[in-house]
Amino acid sequence: MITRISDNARYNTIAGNISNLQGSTQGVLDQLSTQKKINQPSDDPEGTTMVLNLHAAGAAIDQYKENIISGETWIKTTEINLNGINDLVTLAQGVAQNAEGGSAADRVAAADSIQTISDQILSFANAELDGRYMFSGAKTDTKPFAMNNTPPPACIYSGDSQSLNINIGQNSSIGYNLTGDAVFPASAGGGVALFETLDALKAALQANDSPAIATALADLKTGGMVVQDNIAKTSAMLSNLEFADSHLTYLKNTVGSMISNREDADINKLAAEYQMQILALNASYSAAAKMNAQSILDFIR
Amino acid sequence: MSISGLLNIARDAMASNQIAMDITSANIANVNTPGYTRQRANFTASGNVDVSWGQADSGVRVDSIERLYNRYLEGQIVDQAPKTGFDAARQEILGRVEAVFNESGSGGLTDSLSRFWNSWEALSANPTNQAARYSVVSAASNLASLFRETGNVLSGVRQDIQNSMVSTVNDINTLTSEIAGLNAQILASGSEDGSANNLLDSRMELLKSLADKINISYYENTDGTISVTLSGGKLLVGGNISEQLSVTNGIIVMNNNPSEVINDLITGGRLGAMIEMRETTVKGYLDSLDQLADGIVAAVNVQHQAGSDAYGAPGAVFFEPPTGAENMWVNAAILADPQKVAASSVTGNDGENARLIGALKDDLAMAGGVSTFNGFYASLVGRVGADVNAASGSVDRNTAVFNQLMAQREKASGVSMDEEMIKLMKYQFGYSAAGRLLKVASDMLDVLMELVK
Repeated sequence: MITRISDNARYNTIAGNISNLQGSTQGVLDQLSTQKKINQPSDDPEGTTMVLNLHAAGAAIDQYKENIISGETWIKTTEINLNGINDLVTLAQGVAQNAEGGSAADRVAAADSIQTISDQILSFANAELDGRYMFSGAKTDTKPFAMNNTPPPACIYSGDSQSLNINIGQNSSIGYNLTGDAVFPASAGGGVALFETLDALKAALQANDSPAIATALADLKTGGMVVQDNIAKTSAMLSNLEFADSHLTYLKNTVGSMISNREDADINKLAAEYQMQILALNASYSAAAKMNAQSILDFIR
Repeated sequence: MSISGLLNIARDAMASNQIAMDITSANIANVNTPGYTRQRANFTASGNVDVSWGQADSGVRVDSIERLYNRYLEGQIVDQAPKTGFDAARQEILGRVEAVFNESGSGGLTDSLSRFWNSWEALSANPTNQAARYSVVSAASNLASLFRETGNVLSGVRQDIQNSMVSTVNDINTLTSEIAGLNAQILASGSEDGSANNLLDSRMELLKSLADKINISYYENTDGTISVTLSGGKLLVGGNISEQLSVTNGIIVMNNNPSEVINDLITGGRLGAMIEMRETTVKGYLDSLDQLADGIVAAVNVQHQAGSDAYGAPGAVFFEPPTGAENMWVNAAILADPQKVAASSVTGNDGENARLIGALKDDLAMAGGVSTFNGFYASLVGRVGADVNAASGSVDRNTAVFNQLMAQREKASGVSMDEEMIKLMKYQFGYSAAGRLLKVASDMLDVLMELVK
């Protein structure tokens, strides 16, 4: 059977081929200009879902790292305050020891110094960061320590034992504060032991009572050790956060490279593909231009 | 046999070849007419004369003018047209929807959601920081407005489809009444002798246009008319009568039975795609978006109400109660005063409540407890992408089939210029020869006339 080729069939074939080639050339151009394989969801539906989830994960990691910076600031400030307190406790011990070997007048003068030191420690214990009391647990807007001057003078803790938390990962949070009742344990009477000790020391110095001075000094040493323990805790907390941060950095890089693998176009391959498309397109144009070059009309006169 | 007989034969031959040249020229003229079917003049020997050994054919006439077409192929094209029409309409609609969900740049819903959750965590670490409170409120109102916008666009797409359905139904009504009109003309002119050829071509073109818009079946009746039915046997065209459709708010009925909704019968053509997109696909996207918005609103509200604000008062609802993506609003009181953001669990500034709201992003709160909010949205975008992808694949396949059928049709019915030129020469030669015959007969008559002078 003779195959008839109608004129329309020839035009349709050429036109169809050219528009197909133009379509695929445009696809390559889109990828070249954005340098991405996925320019709309239909380019890779499953990949789109994955990339979106990875972007969300990446954004969450960025925030976790921000959270860690905030936590670190808090802990470092805590450490500075605790070091200040520790220095003052050491100073109080030195003042008391010197006075132990001195005259009664020396002891009275030392008692005044102890009062000043106690006031300074109180001010460190009531330290604030960004308007929040650092040692009152969750009650950050309540001043944690206040002197109750009805005799015998006692210091009352008004905070709680709650920790302040930040998220540092999916379903993972970490506390970043030290509560006042942990740093300054309570005495048997319910007041704050360290301030009661300082008060007792002051009273013993004023009364020139050597055995009482010795007892108070021993108690002061114990209180100082609790503060030092807490300084050690801040270091441990900081290194925990640093570890979490470096883990997050690693995760972020992994997420980044997963996104890139799925989403980024291979430019070299695209450039080669583009050349091939242009070649095919030129061939089609040339064929289209020559379509009517051969016709029986040329031979009829 | 007489000399005048020769003259008659020559006359008939010249006339027949001239008719054939007319037909050829009609073919040439209509080379670019869509749906034109090439025609051919069929010659047949006419009459006979007595000769000494019996009888011989005498003369020629054009017996019929034939449309060269393949009935089976035309039927296949009409069958295929609803598929290509369906695909084309679906691809157009999904293309618009896909643009809504294009998350390849920044500033999409995924970004906005992440910024929303992150703003809570930033607040949890700095609960007294005014800027952190403002950024929670602004991230939330940005998120809500993106949800509203996305919901509005999807609703708009559904509304546009509804409007397009009206004009498509009008087109269908026009086409069926034109087909019924052509049926009447074809019946009047008689279909056998070729005088109705152009009407037949026009009717086939209308039928193909109709099939592009709606899934139909048709059959030819013995009197030359065609009947067109919708699946389910509902008659759209019978003889010179066409049954009209009407559409109200996306509900399609036939005017002869306005109580019966026929949406379910329309599964093909552009109208079929519109119905499916409006009632199922785009509605499904909108429903998912609503679920996501409602899920976020509900979860954030519950946690927010468990906390206390900067004044020490219990948290209010953070978003207005859930009623879908298009109605997602941040509580106006909180918008006006970010101090009312309940960042803390107690009347302090521990930021614990903000931390818990931030951690909601990891809750498997969606899709029956298997998906996070972000994950649910990412799946929705993936679903849109997969639908667009499937639609494009289907367009490619069905277009290829359609083009193949059209190519087959062109083989059978299309005009080839080379072929027509050759025919033109053939008929011209036949005409010239018949003219020479006339001259010879005339000369013979002259000889006879000389004899009797």
